[in-house]
Amino acid sequence: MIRSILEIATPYLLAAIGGLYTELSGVLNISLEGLMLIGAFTAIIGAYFTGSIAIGILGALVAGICAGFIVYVFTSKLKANLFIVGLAINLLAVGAIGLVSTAIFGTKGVIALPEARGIPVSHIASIHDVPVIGEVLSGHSALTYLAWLFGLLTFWVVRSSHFGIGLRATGFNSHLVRSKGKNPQVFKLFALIISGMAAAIGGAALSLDLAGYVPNMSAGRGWIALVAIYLGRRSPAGVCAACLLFASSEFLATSAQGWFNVPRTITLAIPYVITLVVLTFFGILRSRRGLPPGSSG
Amino acid sequence: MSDRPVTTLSTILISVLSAFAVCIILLLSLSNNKGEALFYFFVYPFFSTYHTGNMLDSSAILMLSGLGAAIAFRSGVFNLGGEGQVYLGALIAAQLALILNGLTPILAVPLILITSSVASGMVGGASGLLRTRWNIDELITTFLISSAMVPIIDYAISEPLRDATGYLLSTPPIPKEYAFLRLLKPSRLSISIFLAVPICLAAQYGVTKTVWGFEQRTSGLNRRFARYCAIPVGTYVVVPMALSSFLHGLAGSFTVLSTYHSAVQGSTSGIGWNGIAVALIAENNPALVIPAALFFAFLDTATETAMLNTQFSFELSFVIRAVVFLFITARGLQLRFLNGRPPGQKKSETVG
Repeated sequence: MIRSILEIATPYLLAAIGGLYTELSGVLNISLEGLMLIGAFTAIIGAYFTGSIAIGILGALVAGICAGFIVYVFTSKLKANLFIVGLAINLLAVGAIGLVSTAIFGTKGVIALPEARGIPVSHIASIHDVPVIGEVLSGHSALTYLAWLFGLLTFWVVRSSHFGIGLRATGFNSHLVRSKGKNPQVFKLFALIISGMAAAIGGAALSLDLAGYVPNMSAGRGWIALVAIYLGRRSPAGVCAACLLFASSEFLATSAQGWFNVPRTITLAIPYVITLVVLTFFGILRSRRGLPPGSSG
Repeated sequence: MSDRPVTTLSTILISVLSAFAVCIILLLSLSNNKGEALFYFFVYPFFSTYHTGNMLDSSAILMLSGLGAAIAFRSGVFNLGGEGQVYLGALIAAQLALILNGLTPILAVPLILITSSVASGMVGGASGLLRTRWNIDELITTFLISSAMVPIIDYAISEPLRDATGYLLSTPPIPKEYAFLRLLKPSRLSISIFLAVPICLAAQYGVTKTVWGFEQRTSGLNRRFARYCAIPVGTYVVVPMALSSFLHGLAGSFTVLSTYHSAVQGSTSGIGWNGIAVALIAENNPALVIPAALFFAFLDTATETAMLNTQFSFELSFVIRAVVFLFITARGLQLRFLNGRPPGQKKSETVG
């Protein structure tokens, strides 16, 4: 069970930790959902034509960088509204993927990798020998390890690196950063690019795991990742915990279908309901402890 | 946020023109028959009664959801739950119409409109309460509640409440006498637009000329300052949230009484998000929501007619709309009428 939860958590984790960078730099990244879709699609395209999963991931990486850059150009250079640009990226993802998919494969539907190339992502690291923990921790896909490594790295970056401090300062007060002789736009650019890359790889984790692309396969995960950032109170550890929570509730929702014969459509609501309940619970708990209102949203 | 509609109107015009320019470039570069594509995109929507009527009908609905989003933004709160709130309004309107069947329309129609809006309003109000009571971010709770409601309503429409005789996934049709009077047959245009426009104008009066509007705006601009001025800032979180989702619910009931005459699965999808876009284009001015909604409805109709009549694909319409979104608020491209930040950025910057 813990194994499957860890696998389910991977895309959430990548998108949410990436989104944490933009969030800290003061950019509300609505486009995570679209970025994940773009990553999922480009990964399959890359893997389909080269037969190499690595190139697929690389493709997702490049697409993520491009998308992050587009958001930067429009919001920072052209002063467009962040929210609308985010919605635009989400729309653009659906539209452009459909167009490209029709042009290449002649279908807007499911694109499956040839079977021989399916799911070779797993079983890379070998911590098999460690008792108990080995059972849970070994044999995951490489991207799962990457996600946790990314989380750890972020923990350090945000807390202690120059870049992380500049990033947080930008989100806190960009004039302050400017007065220190640094350009806040640079931090925003890097944050958007990191977020683009991470969300795209999160999408790639989804599609490569399935060895195929299914239209709209991100199914709200980008949005949930955004919620995870808030729920995790903008700290890397908190975001990781929030992602595990979402993964558990998704696991529960899938299992519930089998246990109680719940209609499939209704199970789609379960992750959101669980999140809401947890969010409210922690909110009440926090205000009981007497933290001043407005300390942070 | 500028409060003088005339100044803002000129920036909106520039936005719209630049968006159109991009549209033309895209259409010219992506379609096989360029003349035809341009004709069906820009001209045809206005010369076909059917499409013109539908365009006006959907603009009425967008005016309400856009106004709802604008009211929330003005008070400095975010309502990202429009999708679910509109859907809920539609479902309740459709069900209530069936239950009330037989009652005289003079009583039934207002009752339907009010009940469905109030039900949606309570959903948004709840998020506002969570915010004031326990400081739980309304931006997340509205989105979560809405995302949870949509699949449940989907299920309700497709299974227990479904019209078994129809092939559509929808509830049974509402009694004919409750439907809004249609003005431009065969299109779906009804008197809804004559309700939506005055509501926007009344809201413009409310936010600019009344104490309530002033206090609300002050709370939105600077909550701490407002508190020092003895403005009950908590009220200006809950009430705008409730009002915002009330209007979304009203928009949902309009889709039933005016457009579809039943609650159709997925039929309200996009109204909430597009409402946000409408509000941002209108710079949160209630009166300007009217032209912004008209523009949006035009965009929808134009892509639809271009799609039906040329080899213009469904996906291309997404791309066009996305590109319009990208450019519509790109103030850097336009003359700098406004020196303020676009409203969407405020949240991130102040919360951080």
